[in-house]
Amino acid sequence: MTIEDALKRATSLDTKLQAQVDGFHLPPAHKVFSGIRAYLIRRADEMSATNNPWNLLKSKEVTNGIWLITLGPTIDKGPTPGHFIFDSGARLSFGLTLRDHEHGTRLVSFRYQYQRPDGTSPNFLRFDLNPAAHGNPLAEPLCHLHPSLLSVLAVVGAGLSPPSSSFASPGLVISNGAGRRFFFRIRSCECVGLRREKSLFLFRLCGYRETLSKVAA
Amino acid sequence: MPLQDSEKALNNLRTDLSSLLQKPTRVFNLQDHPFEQLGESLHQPGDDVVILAATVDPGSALWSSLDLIRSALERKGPIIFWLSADCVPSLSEHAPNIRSFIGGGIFAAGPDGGMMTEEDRQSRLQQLAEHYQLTNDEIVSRALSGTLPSEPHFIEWLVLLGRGDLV
Repeated sequence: MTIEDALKRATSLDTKLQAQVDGFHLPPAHKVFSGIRAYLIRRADEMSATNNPWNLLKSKEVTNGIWLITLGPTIDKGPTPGHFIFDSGARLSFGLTLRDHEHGTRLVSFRYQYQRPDGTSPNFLRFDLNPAAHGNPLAEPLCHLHPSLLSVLAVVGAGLSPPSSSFASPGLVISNGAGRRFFFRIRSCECVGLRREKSLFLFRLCGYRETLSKVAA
Repeated sequence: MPLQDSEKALNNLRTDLSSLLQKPTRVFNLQDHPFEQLGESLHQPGDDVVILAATVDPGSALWSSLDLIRSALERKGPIIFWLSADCVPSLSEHAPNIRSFIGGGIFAAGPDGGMMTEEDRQSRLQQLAEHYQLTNDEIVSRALSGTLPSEPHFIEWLVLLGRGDLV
């Protein structure tokens, strides 16, 4: 497989996913909000950890029928009273953007950050849905998973060498049957700014090219 | 509470009850719903959630009649009275048996704490600015020029700035 083939398949995957997202109709924003809150209340009742889901979830409507539903801080810098806490000590924060559509809403984007307790690996997982496909879907798939970079290197590196070959494996980019069921793709994170994000893209693409050359050989 | 706010709050309560109890919720306006049909309506079906609403006092006659058919209020699903403040003394006076059913279960409806406050909005904008080392103006400028990365954080940033038109 060439990188051009991989790009075509990644583009095709993003197109299919975009069609799924466009066809995914949600209730009006206040009903989505209520449904999430009810779910969190039920989950909180099942756990020992103390949460107050009534006050954790926040929503904001702006002009043009755009809604933002959030829980916890926008940027996770440590535990806060706004997080949803699990019995394991892990914490959840998220942001969900919706757009009014006919009598309901449609998804614009989301980010769900599941931050595990200190000392665990990977330390966090973040599931992102971007509002639109990136120009290069190999660098930025529409829907993807961010693990914490150092942790992922440790996990992958434990059994595979070099880590980058697995980290940027085409199997993570191009979905097979199993991949479609878990359609997120791993992407390095720990971002602190646009510059850092860009450098990580370059790192991963370098690894990706290296993998392709090995596969071709 | 202004009537418009009351209707919105009632609608939100209906949504929350359906979400929480995972059952349909019906609302009967005590001023509008034919009283003679109310008892039957409460039991068809009898296991959903029912809200009996009155934003103005429906009068002593209705409360007294409701008190007489109070056995119709006994059903599998819950019944919630959504009443304006002036309805409560009237219910207590003219429907004492129903008041006894309710007991201490009277709660004042307050504003929903789910709406993001201005303080929260500013705090989130500050978190984003510190994290990405960019200003609000730079984000808007990049969005206008089509150079803003397509990331959920940046979409939220625009939403928090009230620029849903750029999303």
